[in-house]
Amino acid sequence: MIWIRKYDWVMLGLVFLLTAFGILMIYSADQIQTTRASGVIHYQRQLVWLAISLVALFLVSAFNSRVLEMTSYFCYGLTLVVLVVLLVTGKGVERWVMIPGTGVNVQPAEFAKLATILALANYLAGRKKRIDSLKDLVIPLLIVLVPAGLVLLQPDLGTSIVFGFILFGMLFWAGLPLIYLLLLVSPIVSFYLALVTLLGQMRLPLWGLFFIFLCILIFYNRIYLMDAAIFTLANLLTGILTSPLWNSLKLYQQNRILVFFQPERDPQGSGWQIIQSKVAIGSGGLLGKGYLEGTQKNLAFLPAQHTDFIFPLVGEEFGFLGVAVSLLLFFLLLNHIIELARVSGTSFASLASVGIACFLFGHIIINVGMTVGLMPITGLPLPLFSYGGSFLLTCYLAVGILQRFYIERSSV
Amino acid sequence: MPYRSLHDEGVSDRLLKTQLARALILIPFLVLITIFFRYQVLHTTEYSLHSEENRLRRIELPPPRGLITDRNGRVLAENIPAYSIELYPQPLDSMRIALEKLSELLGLSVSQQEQLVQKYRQRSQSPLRVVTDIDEKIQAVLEEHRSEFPGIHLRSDMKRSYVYGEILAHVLGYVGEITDSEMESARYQDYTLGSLVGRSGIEAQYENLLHGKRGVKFIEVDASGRDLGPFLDRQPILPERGRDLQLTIDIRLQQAMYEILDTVDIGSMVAMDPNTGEILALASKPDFDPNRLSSGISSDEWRQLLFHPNKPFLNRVIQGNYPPGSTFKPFTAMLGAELGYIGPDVRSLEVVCHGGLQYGKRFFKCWQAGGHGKIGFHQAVEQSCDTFFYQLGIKIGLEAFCRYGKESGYFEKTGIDLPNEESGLVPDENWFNRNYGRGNWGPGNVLNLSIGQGEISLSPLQLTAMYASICTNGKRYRPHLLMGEPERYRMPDAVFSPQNIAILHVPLTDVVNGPLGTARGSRLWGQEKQLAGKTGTSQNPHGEDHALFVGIYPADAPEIVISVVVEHGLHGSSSARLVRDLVLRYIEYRQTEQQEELALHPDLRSAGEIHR
Repeated sequence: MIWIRKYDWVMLGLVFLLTAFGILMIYSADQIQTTRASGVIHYQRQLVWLAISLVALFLVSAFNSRVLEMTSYFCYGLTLVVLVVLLVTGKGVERWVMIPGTGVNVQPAEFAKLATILALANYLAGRKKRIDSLKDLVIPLLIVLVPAGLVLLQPDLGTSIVFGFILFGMLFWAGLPLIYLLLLVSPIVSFYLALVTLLGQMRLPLWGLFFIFLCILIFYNRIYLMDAAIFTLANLLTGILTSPLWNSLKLYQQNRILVFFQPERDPQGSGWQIIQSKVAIGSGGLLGKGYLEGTQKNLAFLPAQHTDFIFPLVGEEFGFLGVAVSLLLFFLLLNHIIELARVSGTSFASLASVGIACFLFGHIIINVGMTVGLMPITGLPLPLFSYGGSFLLTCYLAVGILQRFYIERSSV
Repeated sequence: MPYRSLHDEGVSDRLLKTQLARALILIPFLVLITIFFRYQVLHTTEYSLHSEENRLRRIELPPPRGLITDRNGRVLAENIPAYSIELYPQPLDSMRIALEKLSELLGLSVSQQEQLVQKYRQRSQSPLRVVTDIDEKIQAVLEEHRSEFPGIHLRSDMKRSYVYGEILAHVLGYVGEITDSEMESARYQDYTLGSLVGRSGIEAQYENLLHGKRGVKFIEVDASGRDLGPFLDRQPILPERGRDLQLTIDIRLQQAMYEILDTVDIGSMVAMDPNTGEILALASKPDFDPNRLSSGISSDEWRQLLFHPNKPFLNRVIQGNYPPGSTFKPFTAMLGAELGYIGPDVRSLEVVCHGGLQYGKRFFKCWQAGGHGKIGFHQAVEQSCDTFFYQLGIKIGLEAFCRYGKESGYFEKTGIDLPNEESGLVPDENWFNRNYGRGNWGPGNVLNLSIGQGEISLSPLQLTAMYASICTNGKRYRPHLLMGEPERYRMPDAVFSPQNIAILHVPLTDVVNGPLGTARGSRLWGQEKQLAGKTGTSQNPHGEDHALFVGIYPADAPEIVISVVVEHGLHGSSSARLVRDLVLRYIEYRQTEQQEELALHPDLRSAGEIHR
């Protein structure tokens, strides 16, 4: 029990504050006026999960990080097996697995993120040489893209994007030259710009400009010829294939993408969530409508207000002030984790800390960005706020690991 | 400590990365904060408005229509509750099941059910109206077995009820639900969906008075449009009932008139007080049931009414134009007097009638083929001698006849407060030239005109108004149905001077009462006061002639002028009986009224408030 005294209480304080705020909001989300309520008391369940999570935090911080490091590949392999089984048995779409005999549903994809972070940290920490070519990237890419691909097939776009955040963050921390980071994202940027050019939203041939810029960048940075050729080709193909790819999509699929850019196109359908979310946030004003007083929430205009759209509720009931405070708390937490990564005693701990920071950061940015229409609606929960046991548990496991790193930190 | 790849970068390199990482995290956070600031601080007003609108539903409350009463306060048109069946929004499948269950009770066909389902699909946010105006039996069944019909709602509306049905069809008209295209027009901008709009008669004429002002209430709804009760922040505005209208109609007289007119197939009757212009009763045959029309009839039934050869929608009192026949002779007489051909001494013009008059190449027949012999003005009216009026017409001349016809105003629309009144016709030179061509007509046309045949025509109401001005020696009042100060309805006096009108009083009395009067059969036997009037036969090139009679009662101090037209009724004397019957009823009512007045003395006002 001695290790509790060595905990990073600043980080824990931030985590507890955010969790308490979250449960407060879940309680509020339960109080709705309409008859459509399912009768489930979400906040009580979330409290039960919080208790479980606290125990998990305590337990995981009891082990030396060496144990984590050594079992990381095993855990990683295990979650991959579970994800494959899910996909094969066709349960994948639901993303939920019931633990036999308990009646409790869990989401393996959440734990997969943590396992991937640890496995990647283990691999990167074990390398003797600095990563500076595409060849060196093959294994890290595989470690992340395999689980990311599996969840994308489930389909869970949001979680896949979070995997991308983790990959980039950790590669950056491991010392990959910035030019490579940029080149890795370039096909995605190419695709987006080609689409925008195709839809004619802007008159400029954006993709063409980007491609020229990319070529100049590759030329001046003098990377391996092979790598340069591969990236150039990848971008060229993306740019050329976007048009036939887009046209091969069914109309409703195209619409789904278009509605993301212009929610007003479909005010009763896909755009509804974004519009109602914006209305909830905007009508909150500076100080909010008051706790439990959100009308958008009360009358069930907010979709998924316990889970993915819990943040608009903060905006509606506590106004800009509530939003600013919670975002500040989140930022302080991330900042604190980055600081921990800096002072970590081992490369594994340092890389894993950054991975966890990226994982949380990805969730926060995508979730909050989604509520104001900045990001696509992907169904990604907000850490420590959103209702959902598996995710809360994952977050607390991560915090537990960070506590262990803190205890073992070097005295720099 | 084993060699680790990160360590060879040195501490400062790691510090640099830390700073970079912080910055990379901070920037998106700042972007988010900026966006939230924009939404919550800069644009909060418009989003607040949106959020309010989100949960607010404006429910418009249609105003109750004003009541319509007769001159004694008896209700003629009122609003009664009508129940319609609605189904609350629910999933499509359960809606189908609910409809199936209801169909057994209501007898809806499968295709009707399917139509309703389609209607619901288009507006799945609002309740589906299944049927309107259900009868009490169904209502009772539904109330009793309410639990067996989930999602059902008995909605109470107001519907228009015409207490006397067909009897007042051509006076009150009827109402109908506002149409979609009317909803869009500026005239009906204050109307709500489902509002009733007057379609004819008084209902249409005084639509703006009867309609009232709509109210509005605000309810709070959830995201699925469910009603959560009143929205407390906004006060409802109660609807204002339309103005009640008191008509000049006397319903007892109207009922009597309807009964009497019911003995003929096609025709019309109208009774008017010559001293005020008040219409006491007005009926036209055939008619329609305003109650059925107002509660929405099938399009088949509607088409049948609309295209019926006898035109039940035609209000013959104001829209039927007939050559007035002999009932027009008083006009010729007044004009003759005005021009000096008939002096105060009625013997001043005497004519010998041999059963007609040779004028140019044409022989103009008198109805009495044997002739009337030597005849003066008085007898000519009493016996309706055509020859006399031919002669008078020749003296007057076509030009003067037509000019005075126009100036008299008798052929113009009377201005009665009913929609779509038709004007009569009196020809002039232009008219003849246009219709017959130059040279194809001559001064001889005046002969026919002077006995009310040929090119002139009048509506029964215009004829009645002319007789009313005879009763009052030239004071004219606009015929009207809405109670009001008589002076408001005063019109310019007749073109003829009072003494030239007054010469008609005795002859018109003798038409009914004189030994040779053409309407002698309709004399009031055993009554204190006399009936006066004039018969007429309107030549009808399309079939049997129409029979006309205009009656005046009492002859010495007229209170009521009644005109009747019986289409294909042959001769005026037969239609005079209808007027006589009505006058007898009128006398009866006046007597009971006086007795009641006496009984309730001194509170004379109560006389009019007898309850049914």
